[in-house]
Amino acid sequence: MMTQTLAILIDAYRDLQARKLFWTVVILNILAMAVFAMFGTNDHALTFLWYEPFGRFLKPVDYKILYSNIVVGIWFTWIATILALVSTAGIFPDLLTSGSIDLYLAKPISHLRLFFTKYLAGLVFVALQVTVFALMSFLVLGLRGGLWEPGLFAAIPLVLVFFSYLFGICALLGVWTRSTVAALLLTLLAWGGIWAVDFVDKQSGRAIAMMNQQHEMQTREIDALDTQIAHEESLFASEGSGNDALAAQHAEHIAQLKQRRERAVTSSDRMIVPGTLATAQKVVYNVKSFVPKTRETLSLLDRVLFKDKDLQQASKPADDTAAEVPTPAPSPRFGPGRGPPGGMSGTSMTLVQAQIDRQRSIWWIIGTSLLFEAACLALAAWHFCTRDF
Amino acid sequence: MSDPDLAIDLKKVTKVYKRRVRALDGIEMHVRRGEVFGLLGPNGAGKSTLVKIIMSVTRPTEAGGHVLGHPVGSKASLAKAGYLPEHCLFPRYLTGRQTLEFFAALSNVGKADRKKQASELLEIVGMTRWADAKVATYSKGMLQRIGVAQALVNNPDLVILDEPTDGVDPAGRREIRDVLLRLKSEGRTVFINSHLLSELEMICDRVAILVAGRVVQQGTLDELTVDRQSFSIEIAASADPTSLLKSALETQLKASFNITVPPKVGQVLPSTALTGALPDGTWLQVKDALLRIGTTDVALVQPVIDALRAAGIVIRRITPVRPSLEDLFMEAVGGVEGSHQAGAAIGARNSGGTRP
Repeated sequence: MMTQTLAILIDAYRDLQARKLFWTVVILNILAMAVFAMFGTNDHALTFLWYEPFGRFLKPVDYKILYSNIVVGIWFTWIATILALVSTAGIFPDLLTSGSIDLYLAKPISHLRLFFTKYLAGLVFVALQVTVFALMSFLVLGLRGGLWEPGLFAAIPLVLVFFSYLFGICALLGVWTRSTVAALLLTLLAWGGIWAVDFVDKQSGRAIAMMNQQHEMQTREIDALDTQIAHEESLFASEGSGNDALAAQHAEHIAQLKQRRERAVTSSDRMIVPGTLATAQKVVYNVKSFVPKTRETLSLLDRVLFKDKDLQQASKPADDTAAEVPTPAPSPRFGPGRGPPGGMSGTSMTLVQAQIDRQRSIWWIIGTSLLFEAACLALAAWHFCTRDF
Repeated sequence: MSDPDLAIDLKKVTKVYKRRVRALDGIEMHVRRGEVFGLLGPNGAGKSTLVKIIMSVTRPTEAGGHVLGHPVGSKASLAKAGYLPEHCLFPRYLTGRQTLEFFAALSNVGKADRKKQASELLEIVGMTRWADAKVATYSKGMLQRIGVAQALVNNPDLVILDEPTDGVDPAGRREIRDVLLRLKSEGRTVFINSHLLSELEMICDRVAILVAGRVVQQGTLDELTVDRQSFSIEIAASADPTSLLKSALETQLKASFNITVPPKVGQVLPSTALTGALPDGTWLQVKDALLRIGTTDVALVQPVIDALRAAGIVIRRITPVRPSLEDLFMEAVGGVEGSHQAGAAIGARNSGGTRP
């Protein structure tokens, strides 16, 4: 059994090597990491190669955020994944080519095992690529950022699981259409759909969280104003009688406070989450439970790389010596995106998004995604085993 | 229970594709161990479908019987079976040697045996010189040779070859034929699906003819042609040899002519010939200077020779005649197609489809 499995895996590697894909992707990964490695940080500045052209301080945690946003958020999430899909999309259509599949099926290997071994071959390709990349990341963050993060190696299983969702869809489409191009394009289309659901969920979740946060802040402000008004009125009652000037001063101050309270109440009412938005968010969340959570799966790497205190630290000015130097803007993934209601800062949004992500359980993120993948694979395997060749 | 003497024992094998296309219709077929068996049939007869079912590439709609002692469709039988599909497509990035080693590994052959087996087979099919060239650079004939070698990598008891000489030059065909005869001499069973009837005739012990998803003929060539064999007597040319022969046979042996000849005979022999029979029922046919006598018994030919000689006819040559595989094939295909056409005509009449 191992002989057959190894033979198929080695054959997949030879195929990729023959199409120059394996080493092309390795080289592209190295180049991407080399570009990132041009930037670094020392104890007082963000560096470019050996220079400090930016003249601004970058905290170690911000260097990690930079890595997370650019390398994980852009390279891994999009570019490397598309490269991996391009490399592996042909695995099933090529196998199913007439004249080729007969040779495989006429060997003493079951249809099911052949299917899953081929699937495994696609994942092994990605695992090898990610392992090389994680090792490079570890060295670059250590040497250029002074951050020796063993947690980076969590990227290997996470990226693999993330890719497996898409590869499951690609395998199903490959078996169904027997066309590499169709399988690839339809997988990208499906991925676009997953992204759209996630986008709506993310935006509505953020809006609701921020409105709740604003509402709480306004409520606290109203309470504080009520206390202050009560205090002013008691002072007015005790000190204002007989002293018209002082009484007028107190009355004016109380009126101002009441005006502020009115404004706060109005603002607070605006921050009550509309029922339709809450319902819509719930619907999107439920829909999302049935599709792969690609962004959140990769975001789990952030849970490993960033502790709560890291996020808090990222939201504060660096330190006394660097207080006058602005901190780098938080990332798109952690960061602002579109402006939230109430005009919250990007840093606050960073925290809000991180909090939303962390409220969602690993089971919900990975477990339900794997269930979706299992359904795709079961359907693909069934079709593979029952169709006529 | 499977018969240990049979490598392939098929019972009621049926395959109905989508849209109710009936590719195979209750196939019954028996291939004995150690024989070379040929499967013939016109395009679309279901030959490749049948081969794919035997090799568990395609699932039958219904199938009984055994292949190498295992139920039809069982993967267990494939461990000792080798298969060359029609138009096989090998990974283009592999060399010939790597191809053989790869498919040997898929057949669970150990690493050391794989290398040894690959080298030996490359030698046997005459591909040693190109063993380390990429398959992508091979000609059609070279691919077929590698394909044949690939079918033998697991040292199989049963070898099934679908058009093994397709695209191979005459020298290559001969080499492949030699390989097949060598396999037979080693006691292996060889099952060939081919259009090249003359080649099958040279090496097959038994054949089956498949037409429209049904086996219409099955057996050894002798068995299939026993009622079609004859003796041919060629006489020296004269002004009107047909009349001369007719007159001699009528006078000396009381033969009668201008009678209906059995359909099988009529299809094997030229339709323009003069046909008749001896009083014992042995059919005769006269065409120019050629007389054919419908018997395989030499003793029955002697009175005819005597009669011709008594009539002063000079005999040039006497030869036993057996229909070729091509004759059998054409007869089987024509017969079935004729009955299909007749059936269609009856159907059309019954449904009122005749022209006014």
